[in-house]
Amino acid sequence: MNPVLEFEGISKLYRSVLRDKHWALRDFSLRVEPGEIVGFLGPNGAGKTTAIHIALGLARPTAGGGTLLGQKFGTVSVRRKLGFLSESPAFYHQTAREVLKFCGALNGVREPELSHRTDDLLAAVELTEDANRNIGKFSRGMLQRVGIAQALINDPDLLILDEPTSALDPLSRLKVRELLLQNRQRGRSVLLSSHQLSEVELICDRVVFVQKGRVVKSGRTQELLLDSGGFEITASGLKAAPSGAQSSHVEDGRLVFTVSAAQQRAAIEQIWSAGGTLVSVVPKTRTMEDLFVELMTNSESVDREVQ
Amino acid sequence: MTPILLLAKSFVRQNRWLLLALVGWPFLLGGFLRIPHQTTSREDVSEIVQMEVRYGVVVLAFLASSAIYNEKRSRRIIGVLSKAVSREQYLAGLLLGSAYFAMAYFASIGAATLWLIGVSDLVARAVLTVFVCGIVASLWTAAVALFLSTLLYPFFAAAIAAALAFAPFALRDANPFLAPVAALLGGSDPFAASIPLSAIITGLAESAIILLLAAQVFVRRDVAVSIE
Repeated sequence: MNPVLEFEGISKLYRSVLRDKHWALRDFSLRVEPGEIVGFLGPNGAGKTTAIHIALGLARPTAGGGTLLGQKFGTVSVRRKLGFLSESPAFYHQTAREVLKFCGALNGVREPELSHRTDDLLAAVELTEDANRNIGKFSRGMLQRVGIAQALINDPDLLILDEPTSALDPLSRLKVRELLLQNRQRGRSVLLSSHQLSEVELICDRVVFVQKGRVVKSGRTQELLLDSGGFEITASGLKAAPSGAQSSHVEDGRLVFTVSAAQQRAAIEQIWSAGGTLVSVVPKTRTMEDLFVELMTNSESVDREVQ
Repeated sequence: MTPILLLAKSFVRQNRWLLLALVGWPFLLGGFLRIPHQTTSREDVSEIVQMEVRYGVVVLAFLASSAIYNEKRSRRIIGVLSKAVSREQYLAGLLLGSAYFAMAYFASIGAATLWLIGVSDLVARAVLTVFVCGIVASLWTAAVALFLSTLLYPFFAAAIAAALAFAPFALRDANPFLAPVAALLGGSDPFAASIPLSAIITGLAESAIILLLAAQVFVRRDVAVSIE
């Protein structure tokens, strides 16, 4: 199946007036397949927004290329099937309803479908009551909800969202999460750039970590979160942890200890042979935040070593 | 066509307060002229109309030259160009918005002129001439300013565009192909002038060509980088 978004060896060099050079992206490659939600993570200045802008045709790559919904980056007509929310959405000062209609019309949505979709999306982001208020008087959270609605106005095949929930309250975040999952169920794809790591952990099928313009790690979310450090075993009826246990403590009268994957079988056999009862064997997992910190710290120290 | 019309409408809407001030300006000036004398001479009105027309063209140059800069600064350009809108359509929308702006302003000059010296065939024809020539001259200057603003800071773009429009006024015989604004507005008495058809066609054609050139430059520019 063809990817809905593909970056192939993209580099982007910015030059300032004084000819200072800054590589925003270096040999950057990424694929988003149909029907998946991909988390796009990295610290500020990692190159995430630059990559998104290149995909949208707002900036031109210095080297490399890519495709958006099967067409080369910068193809105008293909953007009719794309939804985009920028990091700090800015609109003309109109009412929320007018903004959605304006954005829909720019993407070729015609009446009466435009009015129907506008009403549905205003309801979905809970702005029906404020639909006829000028957005100049909206809070940042309300503006972000307008932004999410406008990104969905053309029923896009691919959604590119840059920090879609940064200004939202927990209930609104939940709502947005539901909207994204609904879109995935309908076979739509999402590229989600976010610093809300817990959210990425909850909804993304795959995650890509970027630092200093390069992909430092990517993979399926659940696989990345599995700590290769081993398993946490809980057993009762034991006086001491089996040999090879890395750490142990007693919890509710049960012995809890960790072992490496290689020693898991031997540890279980020792429990049984000692007359103990195996309560649980749980693979050790880490949070997205743990992984993020680990990756970013490691790649920074590697950079320092190289320098 | 729809994106161009929508963008033009938004351009006018964003500048509505300036437009309102400009539309009121000819009437305010006319009022000052009329109140002490009760009647106004054609010569006085002719001078004021010429001045207002040239002011209008310069204002349009500044407005068009700052349009892209303002859109970048407000980051609205990202929202618009991430939709199915080409760079050509975007610039055409801004230029059409400038044309709407000019239409409203020159219509108000015409209305103020009729208010000051009354309606007659001669005045109606002069007003029509001022209206058409003013719009085409503004369109040409705005197109040049827009083109230059894809390369330069808005102030320099506007200043150069205004200079290109008005410097040929100093020449005795300016070539209408090189100086369409002088050919359109160069007559000393708008009431004696007839509609310069060839200058209008030249002005419109050159505006379209300059717009296409601007699009060729603009399509090669990043719009998402910091403008500071």
